[in-house]
Amino acid sequence: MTEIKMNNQLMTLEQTNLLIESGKFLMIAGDEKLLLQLKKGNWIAGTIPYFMDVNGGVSTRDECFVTVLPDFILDLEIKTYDKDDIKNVFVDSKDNGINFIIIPAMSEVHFNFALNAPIFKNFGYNPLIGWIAGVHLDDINNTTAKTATGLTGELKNEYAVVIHGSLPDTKYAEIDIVNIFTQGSGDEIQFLEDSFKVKDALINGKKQNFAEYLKKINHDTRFPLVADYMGVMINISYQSIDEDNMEVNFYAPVFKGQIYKNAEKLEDYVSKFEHEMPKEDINYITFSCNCILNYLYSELEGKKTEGITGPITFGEIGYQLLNQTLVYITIKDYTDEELK
Amino acid sequence: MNDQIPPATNEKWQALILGLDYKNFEFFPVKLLLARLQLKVKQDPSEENVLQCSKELRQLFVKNQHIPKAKRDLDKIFKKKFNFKRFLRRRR
Repeated sequence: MTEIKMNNQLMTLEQTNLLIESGKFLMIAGDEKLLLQLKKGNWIAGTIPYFMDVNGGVSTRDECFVTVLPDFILDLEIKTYDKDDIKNVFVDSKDNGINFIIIPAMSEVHFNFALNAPIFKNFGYNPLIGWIAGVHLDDINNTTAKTATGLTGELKNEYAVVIHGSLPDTKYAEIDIVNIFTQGSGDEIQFLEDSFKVKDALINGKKQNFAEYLKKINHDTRFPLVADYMGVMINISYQSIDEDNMEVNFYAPVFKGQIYKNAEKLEDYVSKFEHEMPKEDINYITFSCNCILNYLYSELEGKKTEGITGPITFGEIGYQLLNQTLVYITIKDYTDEELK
Repeated sequence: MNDQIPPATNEKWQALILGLDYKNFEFFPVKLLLARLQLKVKQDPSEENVLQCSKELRQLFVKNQHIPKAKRDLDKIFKKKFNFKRFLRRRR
């Protein structure tokens, strides 16, 4: 197989603008003030000042993290989607398509995508990978996450930005995840509706106030809810417990009828991560991103994660919204054996 | 090529949808979709809904049958290989 090495790295504003002028298609992550100074061109961008660079986890407002899409991706097209037309994001994918997306956190399009992506028409027909834009945690009460395209350069908290492209017949793309969390041995938890916010839950089939339950078991909310999707663990991260209203808020929606358990506790993220990361995929990764909660709770600043770089995000997208998960996409050539 | 993949009425699709059969699938979107479809039929186990969910699952494989992990997953369900060269010729 041909090894594909991607440009995935932190760059100065000047370097980023030079790349934009070269006409390459780019996915850019950076602080709002930097993104406002980007030249128009073939890019999509989202706000975030946290990154996993080759030297380890870093927070900076002075550089952008730039992913250069490979030249062999054909028929590239930049589009925006609002809360109403995001449902078409899979339908608009091209034949042998590959799709990159950034959605601003806490926007209506974020909520619609999170709740409904799995039931969007053509879900899963072609890979859709990306992330939820965020803000510096110091600014969380003063500003909003934003996205932009290089067509206008206008930063807004209103629309998802997408690059749709097509792979040649000789190549294929696959999205996969590294989730270091597994279901613990505790109670089975189910919810009564699809929602980012819940009051009650069924704990081993018995209805209880969920905030009260978490308090009673003294749950450490750094450890997410985990659902078993046919052997792959899908997390729902805790955002907060609202003790005034006795409600629990999440960073992704829980789904009615799905069985969740609180995650098994773990001590050392980096060791566990290195153990879980499929080594054979590392050289084929075109893009990856990891979660701000993994960055914070596992203190990833200054630590490396086995050759994986990318933005540190307010949510990860691998076909649907994911939490506390590393998401990556590989592009490979078919082998002769696979062509038989 | 689509003809090579058994129709949605095939009982193997339905066994997966109803959770009566379990395969250790590799292809990530298959796991996501199948988990959602199993929830959907838990809430509405009518024949029509099971058939509709089987169609959705089958269509995901139709669209991804050239991807090695999806091909291997199809083999796990139906224990037969697909002619990828013929698929490419038809696409061109």
